[in-house]
Amino acid sequence: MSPALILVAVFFFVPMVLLVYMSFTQWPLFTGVPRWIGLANYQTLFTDPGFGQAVWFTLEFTVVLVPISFLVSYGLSMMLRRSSRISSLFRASFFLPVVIGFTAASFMASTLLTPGTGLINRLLAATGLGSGDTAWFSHPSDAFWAVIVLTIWKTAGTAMILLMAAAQAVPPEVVEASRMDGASWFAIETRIIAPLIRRTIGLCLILSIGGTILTFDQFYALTKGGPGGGTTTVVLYTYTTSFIQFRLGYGAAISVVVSLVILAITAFQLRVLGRKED
Amino acid sequence: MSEPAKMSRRMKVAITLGMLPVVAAAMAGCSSATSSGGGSGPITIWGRSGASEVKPLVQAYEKAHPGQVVKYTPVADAQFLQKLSNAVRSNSAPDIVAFDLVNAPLLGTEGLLADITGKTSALGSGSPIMKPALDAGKVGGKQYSLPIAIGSSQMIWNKELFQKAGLNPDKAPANLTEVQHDAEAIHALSPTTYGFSTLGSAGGAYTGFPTMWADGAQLLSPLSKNQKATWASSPAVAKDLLWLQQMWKSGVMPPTEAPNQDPGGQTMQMLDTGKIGIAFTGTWAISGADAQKLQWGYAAGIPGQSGKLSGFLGGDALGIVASSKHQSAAWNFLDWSVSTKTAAKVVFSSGSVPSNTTQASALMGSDPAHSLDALRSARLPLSIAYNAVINDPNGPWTTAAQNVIFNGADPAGVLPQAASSADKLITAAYDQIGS
Repeated sequence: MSPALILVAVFFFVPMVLLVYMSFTQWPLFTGVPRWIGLANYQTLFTDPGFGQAVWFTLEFTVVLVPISFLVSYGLSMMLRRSSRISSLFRASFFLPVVIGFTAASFMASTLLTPGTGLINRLLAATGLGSGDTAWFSHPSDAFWAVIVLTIWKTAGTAMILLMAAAQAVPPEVVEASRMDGASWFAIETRIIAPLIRRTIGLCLILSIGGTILTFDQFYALTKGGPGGGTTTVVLYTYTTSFIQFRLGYGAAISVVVSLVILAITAFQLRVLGRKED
Repeated sequence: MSEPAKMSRRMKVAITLGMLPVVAAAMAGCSSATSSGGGSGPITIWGRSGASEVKPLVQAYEKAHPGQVVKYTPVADAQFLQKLSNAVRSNSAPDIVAFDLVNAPLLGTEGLLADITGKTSALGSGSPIMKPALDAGKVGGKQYSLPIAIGSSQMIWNKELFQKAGLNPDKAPANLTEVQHDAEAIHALSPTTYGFSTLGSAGGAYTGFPTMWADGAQLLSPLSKNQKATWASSPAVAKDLLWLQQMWKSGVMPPTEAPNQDPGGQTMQMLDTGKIGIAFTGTWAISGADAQKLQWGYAAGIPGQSGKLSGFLGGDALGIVASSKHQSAAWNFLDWSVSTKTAAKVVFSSGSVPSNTTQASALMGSDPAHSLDALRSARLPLSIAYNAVINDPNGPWTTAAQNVIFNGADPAGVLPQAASSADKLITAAYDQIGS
């Protein structure tokens, strides 16, 4: 057995097996022996309104975020495709948020959005678009959109770089030939470049979907899932169940289900990306 | 290199790596055996990071007991129970834990703490330790922990703003109707001066429950396996939440009061800079001396609609881990912490009231903001699912209270549903206790 396999076994398979075992038990917090309860934790998933709400919110967040984020990234990659000093500066500026942590970014957002004193609230008040006192995180819908904007600002740079690199690899003569044939920029983008970089587009979308389903940090830092549980993602719900409610067995069951969903998405991704070019 | 030689080298690496966890476990076992042998040596204590009195207590104890080493480890409040659970399961638990009083029933019920009933009875039948705080550490008639530092809720008001608004600065608002009236008068002074704030969270345990208790409400039935959330059947709960809803709607509360709106203690800053007229807060927020200096009035508790005062009993407790091999040395630390004048002084200078009432009353003469009578009548809802039911920002209580206060929900709709969720969480907490 190779050392790599041993490391994978110790740090991945053993914890995974333990997690699956935990999900079939009532796991005590401190002392005592775990009690085997079969599928009871999994059955609870179907009757737990909190879990249902978290799944629904995560889906909603994914469905809204992924397309908008992709369009923003694609738009930025289009604008910054040509090499020049100014585009290098913009590329660095748009990529910069990717390298700071979500927690730091969330704290910045929280400060900027503070009612009364936050810069964004003041700008909105100065331009007549708001009262300046908007409490962004006191209503689930406002909090939802505030986090959507933050997440796009924070993550769009990654897809922008991938899409830009893929588009730069498209042979210039192909683009030039279509231009000489009278194709508009829109036709070139949608009918020439996009099909040629579709594997990268697929990669960006799948990475984005997987990442969005696992969203935790920004909601933990900004809303703690509130108000009224209205911004709780599945991972945040897992955290709450395991480490605030200390229902460790049930938390493990949720983790197993989320892991299976991510596994299915990854398998789909590998299948799509591994498909031979037509 | 030949193939068998390569294989042999690979095998050695594999065996070495494979043995690492075994060797590590064996070493951990040795270390545990060494440190636990004989019942002597240093004692270890973990404290939640919010318990500011624990570190100075440890230092004072070491000074008073030359040669006795107490190793103190602060643990972040939010991760305290989680890390303690990991430590217990890996046989690396400390000898003593200093924890939030609200967790006393959970730690006692879960079997983590040693039964100290026999030892505490030596403190005497007329024990000087404040009874409600002492009772928090009791489960099934047995004592599992001792309170060291306590505090409660209080109402404070800015006398200068009262004067400017034409109100009597020396008279505390007597009930919630007067609080609302005075808050509106203060907010009328300027749009950026707010009439009212609840430091903590609006409707939360520390400042929300006291108004309800003052009006005769019961939030949870007594600690037991059959405990239920009773807030839906207490009319005062709905009435006081609607009062907070009205306060929020009318704009007399600062917008930073809404959930998750205060990244850097802005409400506290507004309080300090005279932008808030009346605040429901805790005894930790301001000492009597500071209150006098800053021209703040203070009441020993928070009023309800009826005008009675009540408070939430907060604080920290010490317990000895049942598996500790240093039971005797650990008890000496607990005993010293709740009995001596030195310990009481340390606790008091950290901003809390010592649980020893004899020592506390001697110290509190100079600080009228802390009232022993108010602390004696302060209450704490005891539950092993307290964190899940009350503290969790997504838990049933906070969710229901926030929906009423900030989203305008009808208490008659949300409170019964929240009570039903709370009952399930309490049942689940008892179901998973290890046997």
